Amino acid sequence: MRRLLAALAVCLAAAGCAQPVATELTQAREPACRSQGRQGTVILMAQAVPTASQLPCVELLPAGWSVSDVFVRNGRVRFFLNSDRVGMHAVQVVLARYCTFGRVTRVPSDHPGTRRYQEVISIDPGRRYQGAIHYLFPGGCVTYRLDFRSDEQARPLGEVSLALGFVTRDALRQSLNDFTEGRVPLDPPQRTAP
Amino acid sequence: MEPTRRPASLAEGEPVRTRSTRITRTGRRRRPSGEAPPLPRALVTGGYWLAATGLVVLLWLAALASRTTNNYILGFDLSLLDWVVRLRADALTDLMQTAHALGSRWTIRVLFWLTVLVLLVFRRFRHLFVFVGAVVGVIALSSLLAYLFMRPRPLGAEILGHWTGAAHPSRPVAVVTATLVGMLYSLAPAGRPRQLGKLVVAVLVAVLSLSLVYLAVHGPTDVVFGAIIGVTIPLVAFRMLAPNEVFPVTYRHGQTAHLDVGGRRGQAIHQALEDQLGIQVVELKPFGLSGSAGSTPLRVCVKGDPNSYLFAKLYAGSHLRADRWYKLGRTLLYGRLEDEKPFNTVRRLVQQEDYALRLMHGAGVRSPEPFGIVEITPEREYLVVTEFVDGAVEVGEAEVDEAIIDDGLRIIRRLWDAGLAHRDIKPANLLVRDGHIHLIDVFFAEVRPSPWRQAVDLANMMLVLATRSSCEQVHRRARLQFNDDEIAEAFAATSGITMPSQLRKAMRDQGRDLHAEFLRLLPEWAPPIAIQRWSIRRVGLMIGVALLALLALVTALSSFESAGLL
Repeated sequence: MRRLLAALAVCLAAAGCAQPVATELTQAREPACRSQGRQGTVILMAQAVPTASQLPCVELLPAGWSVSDVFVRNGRVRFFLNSDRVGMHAVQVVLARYCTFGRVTRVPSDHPGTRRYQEVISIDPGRRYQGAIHYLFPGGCVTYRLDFRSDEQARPLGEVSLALGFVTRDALRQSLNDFTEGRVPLDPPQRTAP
Repeated sequence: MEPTRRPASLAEGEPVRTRSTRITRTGRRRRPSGEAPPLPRALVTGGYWLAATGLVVLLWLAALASRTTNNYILGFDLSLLDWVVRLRADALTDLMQTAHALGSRWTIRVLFWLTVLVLLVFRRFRHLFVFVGAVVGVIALSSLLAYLFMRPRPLGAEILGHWTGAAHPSRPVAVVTATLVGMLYSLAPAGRPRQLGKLVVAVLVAVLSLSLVYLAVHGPTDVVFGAIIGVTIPLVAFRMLAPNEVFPVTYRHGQTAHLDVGGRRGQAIHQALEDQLGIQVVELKPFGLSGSAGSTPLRVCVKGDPNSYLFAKLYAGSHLRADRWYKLGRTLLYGRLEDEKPFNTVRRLVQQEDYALRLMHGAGVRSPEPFGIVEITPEREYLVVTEFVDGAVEVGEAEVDEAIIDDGLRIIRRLWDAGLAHRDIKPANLLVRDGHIHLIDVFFAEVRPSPWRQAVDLANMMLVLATRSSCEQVHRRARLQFNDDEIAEAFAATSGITMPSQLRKAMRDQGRDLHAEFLRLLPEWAPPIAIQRWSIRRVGLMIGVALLALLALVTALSSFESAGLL
């Protein structure tokens, strides 16, 4: 019985320690715009959607925001932004070849080389705001799915716009080329981004 | 119940024979300090594998962490891939895409759960836990390394297959290899089947690796590193936690409590018996396996003129755990009965049996003469050696006449007089030879038991004897050694669970309710003695066990789900 209790204590302690370690790792692997050539997340994203001329990335996280659940597979990239004020998974960022739109409105884009569409999905006054922002560019589309659970409505959108940005495929290609001293190309010789 | 005068006893019977077995002993040998025991614990080679792999992984991590070497590795991968990509042809691509399915989650799920099922059916729980742990461990480690390295898929080549996440190490290769190696070490018996299996595993892993490189889903270094992890972790796990010398994979029928006594362990037992008891062992054979679930019983043929036999019971850590679980189960089902404190070590367990044997022998109960304890692996495996009751048959297969009945009842009387209880009176533990009953398997014996426990022994002895005679006859003979109150108390104390399962089965097979038949013969019934014991401890234990079981289930399901095995 003593061993069982000891094992239980170790499990609980391990579970307690695992959380901060996992958080550290997650932060270290976030798709940062600044270090495209030095770490693989953004390169993997470029490989997942080889036609995409722009790739979503994290510019600068405002206080209280974090990145989690980075998922990359061929054809699709997804990661989340979490906030200590508006909730976990407040923003889901998805990169794919194509997007599916709802009732969108075109608005001026804040990122060169992209077209921006916006939609409001639902508003629960004082409690929740759900919406989406779509960025269209040659060879791909990025969607921010917003789910703010607070009385701030769409106000955190400003922080999201500051946090998220884009890196062009050309810039990534150049960065990788510099980092690997020209040894390794981003794309296969016969395929170039449109 | 008022004590009543005991009736005039039968003649005490002939004195118990001692030193019934003629054993020739030669010089015993003391193991000097520093010499390994007969079966050393460190007989595994997994440690070397683990150290070598750890070194390789560390060097590799350092190489990947350095920009210069990392670029060389990327360049090396690319040059090999360039060569492979030039070989691409439509038919070959179709073939490779088919081979790619070997690494799919469904392939892994099917192989994994099939193995789990087979191991459950054959009740090889140690292999099961090692297999599950090794596969989940490989999945966790490969995922963690992939996340840490965050290495891209092969650059500069068109990727033709499906992929998820970072490329290094190759998770499909690591997990498929781990699953196949785990299957090999948990399902295939050592020897030719396992050697052939290794070839099959090597071919399958090579085909999968080739397909992944051809389709540019992984680079060459990704698959090599994945294969290293996939081979090493299960290999080390099985060699360290379920070494073949101690836990061989066999498909013989029998109790799972029984350890294999061939191979390295068999040699160790031979050596230990010769060194510690000074006997020359001619042959060592499992004996009466079906009647024993708590140890591995053996018959030892000892060299002499003529050869003679000894009986030995091999106890190991698995028996200690089984004893703990058994006692925990009884506590949950009935509350703590009495003297059900689990043992802490195998040494304590065998000391109890040896002590009980000497106590019985000293009390004049006809039981096997103890020959001592033999150490196989310190604190882990021991033999309890006793006289072998040669030429005896179980009471369930013997002719039971009045003399045998008297002898059996006399055993109980002697136990009572000596303040002992056997606590496991059943047909398999009563052997008949030359018109006398021998009481064996005294492991559960208790000193100064409660009157209830003693009464249960009497009732069980009467029930066993009645299975081979009649209740009237046994009752009539019992009244010569026990008074009516004692007999009534015995049947008041005895109900379903206090009867050993073998005794219950014997009665079921005969279609007789011997307990009811005895009750009808009693001049007066005593009120039944309750068995259930409720206490705060028992309730707390029940809640604790339920919570732990739930926690274990949730943890296992969560691990399987995150590992993609569900």
